[in-house]
Amino acid sequence: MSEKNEILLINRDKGFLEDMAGSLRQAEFKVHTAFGMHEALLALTFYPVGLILCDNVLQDVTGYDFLRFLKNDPLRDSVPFVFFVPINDQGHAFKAFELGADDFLVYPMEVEDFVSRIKEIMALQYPAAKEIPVDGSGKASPLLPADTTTPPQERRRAKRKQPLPNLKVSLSRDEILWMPGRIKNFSLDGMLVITSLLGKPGVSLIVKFSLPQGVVTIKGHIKHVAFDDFRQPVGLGVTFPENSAWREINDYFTSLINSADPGTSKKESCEQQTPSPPQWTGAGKTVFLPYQGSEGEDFLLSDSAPRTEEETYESRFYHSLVGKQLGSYKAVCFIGSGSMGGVFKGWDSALEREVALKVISFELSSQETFREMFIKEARLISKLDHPNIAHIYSIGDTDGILFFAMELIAGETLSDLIIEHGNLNTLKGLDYLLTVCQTLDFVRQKNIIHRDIKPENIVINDKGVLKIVDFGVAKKIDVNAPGEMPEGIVGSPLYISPESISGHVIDHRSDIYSLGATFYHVFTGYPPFEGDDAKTILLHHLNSKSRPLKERNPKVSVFLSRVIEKMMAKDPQERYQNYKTIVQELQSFRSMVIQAKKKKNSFLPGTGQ
Amino acid sequence: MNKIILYDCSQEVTDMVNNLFGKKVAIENSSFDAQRPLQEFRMVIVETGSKKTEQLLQEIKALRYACNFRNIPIIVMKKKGDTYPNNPYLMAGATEILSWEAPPLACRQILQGYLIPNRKPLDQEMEYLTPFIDSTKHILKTMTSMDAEYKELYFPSDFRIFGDVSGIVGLSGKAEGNAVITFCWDLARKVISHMMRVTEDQINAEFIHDGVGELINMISGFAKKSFVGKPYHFELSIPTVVMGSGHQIGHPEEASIALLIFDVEKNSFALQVCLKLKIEKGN
Repeated sequence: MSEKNEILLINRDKGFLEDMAGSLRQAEFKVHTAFGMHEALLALTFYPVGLILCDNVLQDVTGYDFLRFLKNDPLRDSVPFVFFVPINDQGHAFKAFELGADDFLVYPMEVEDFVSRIKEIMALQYPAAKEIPVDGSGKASPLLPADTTTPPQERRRAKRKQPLPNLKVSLSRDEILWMPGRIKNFSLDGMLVITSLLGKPGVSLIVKFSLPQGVVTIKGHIKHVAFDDFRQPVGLGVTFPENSAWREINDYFTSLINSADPGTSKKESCEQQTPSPPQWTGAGKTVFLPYQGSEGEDFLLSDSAPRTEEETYESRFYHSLVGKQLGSYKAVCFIGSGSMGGVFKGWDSALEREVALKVISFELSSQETFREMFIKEARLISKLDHPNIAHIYSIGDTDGILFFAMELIAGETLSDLIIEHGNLNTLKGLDYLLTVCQTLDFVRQKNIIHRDIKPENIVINDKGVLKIVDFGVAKKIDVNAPGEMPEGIVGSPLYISPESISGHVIDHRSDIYSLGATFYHVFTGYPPFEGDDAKTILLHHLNSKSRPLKERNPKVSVFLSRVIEKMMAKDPQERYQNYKTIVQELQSFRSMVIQAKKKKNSFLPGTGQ
Repeated sequence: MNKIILYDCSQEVTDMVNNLFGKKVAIENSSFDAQRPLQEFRMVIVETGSKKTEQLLQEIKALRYACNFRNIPIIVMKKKGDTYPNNPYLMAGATEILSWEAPPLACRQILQGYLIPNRKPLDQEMEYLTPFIDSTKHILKTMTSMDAEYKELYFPSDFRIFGDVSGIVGLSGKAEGNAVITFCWDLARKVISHMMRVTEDQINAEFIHDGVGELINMISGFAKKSFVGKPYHFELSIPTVVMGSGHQIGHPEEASIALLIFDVEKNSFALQVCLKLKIEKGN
């Protein structure tokens, strides 16, 4: 239903409302009614109202009060407002126009005249419905609403300075309820958006953009909050640091403005009108896909596309658990979703300590074989006693909801540090690699493979201690049956090993590949392979050679490039066969770096000498 | 035993809920009744398709009022092929919208999640909540001569606030967060008329805005005194007032949000407090 057809009729007389609403409905308008401002505001929240018809005295406030309120509300001030008042009140028309009313009608009025006047007003307010840009499907483009393309000299709003097209977005804190927002201005760093969503600086925010390529959702942070008035929605400055999707959107918005601005050269405009669609941003997420007995590689890969619908259900499931009691643990707040499950900050009531609670996804926890495997593996991993591994404390089951409690690590992941610093081509980065190698060597000695090594699963805690987390998909190698086939693709597309993708037998060398890919990203600031979807990235892992590290970041040493490239060899036989060799080589390199630099600075040298 | 009420639901929905939970829950089928108190129920389920969407939205809104700020999830079951967007239901007060096309496993686990008992507050949470409870009672008493009785608290799973008018104040300093007071329209008029020393019929939107903003400012300001020299010490931002329900609040990340319910003359209002200690970063 177009907003041009929806009218909000406000009058405290029920009989009058019914009569007038009936007449308008017969003329094929969609009519909502309200007795006062309170109900009217609710109706404006729920429905895309195209015209407000309001009496001068309402149930709770005066019509003038209501109009004044609306005109101070940037999200609602553009809804045309027409007074429809008793004949004895027409002396206040001047006041109404002064406040910003679009028209002033008096009753009693013949029904035909009334409907005809409303049609005239609507035609005046929305004169160019045919000019609304349409896409190939004939649907109106959500980015270019009618009020940006028509010449609305008649409209009060047109008198205001409006430097940008009316770009609309949806914003959410929980990805469940989306609030409308209007972009006031934007830059490469982010945007200022006017919204009813209230926020604080530093808080994360999910923003949904409707682009011609489809809907793109990206995560940003509130940088500043602007309140001008108690009664106005808030202005939120939202940043998207180092976000390639935002860069593309920024280009697209710029092209929209340029194309609307006659002063812009055609060449520039053309160049910017066809930005490439933002890349798929789910490649860092872990996938767990059963092979389902299929032999074909294409089948497997085509199944690895992002499953947004199911992810939504997962997120909603985790949401339902916030503030609940799971066994002897309290789910205090939701932290995020990782491989296989959602992670909560929890509280152990028995031992009175903070824990991380990992709740297993409903899909996996419903599979009996997985439940058995999970419990078996959790018991095994709980025995991994190492200072650089996050400990599992216990496992539990509340009404079929499977979870485990583990050490809560407050700190930053390598992924956070990459975003913060661009890359970590420093001595510290080298030390992190050494520590992870030594820790994974300990894990290998226990015949366990992690299967999901990635920057998000390596955390540096508040004391600077590195911890490997998320052994949720780790696997015990059966020494009696070392050639056992894996049960499916497990890992994150950006860092997964070729043998994991192709379904071959995997061992600790698969973790070595993922570790190489992880530190490729750490040292250069870029993952080894990128693509629009998981399939493209997985095919790159199988068939493509990654760009040399030095091309991505000229400051990376030749020696380090060689180590990472060897770790990422397609054939496991061509990789390092154990962690000890990597550790030895890295340690001798580290000593050389320290000697060469004499601690003058912490950047690694550009050559391997 | 958990009790679930199904309003105007088809036999299919009843069967589904029965199949999901068996004898673990007591299910009651009923026709919509806006006046019925819902405190005894752990969940309300409604269904789309049998009535007009606008009517259902109004009913959900009425049900959310009937919940009186209590943590009672309202679940909307969408008929197959129903493509009406979810947002209006959520804005009206629904907690979750499930479709017949959703995987049964997802439905079961999501509903099961909402039925799990609420957690009790931790001692360290009560350390900063108690001053807000005391402050709210004190300010209501001194500014409006009304007695606010603290009833209960829980930790909501989302960032939304329902009610007609909310006053929000940001808290920052050693600890950061928000305090939000939310009223239904009738109670807001009553409280603000007492506060402004005017009759209820003199109350207009301006009074409500200023009054609710001032109220949350005073409650937080009075609570702030209790934290001087303590880890939860904070400063106040300028209050903001929002009208309408279903707003989202930008509470800080990884912090628990407490919703405290107070009763004034048989009507309830809610105070949301989210306060998180700032952690100094290490190396």
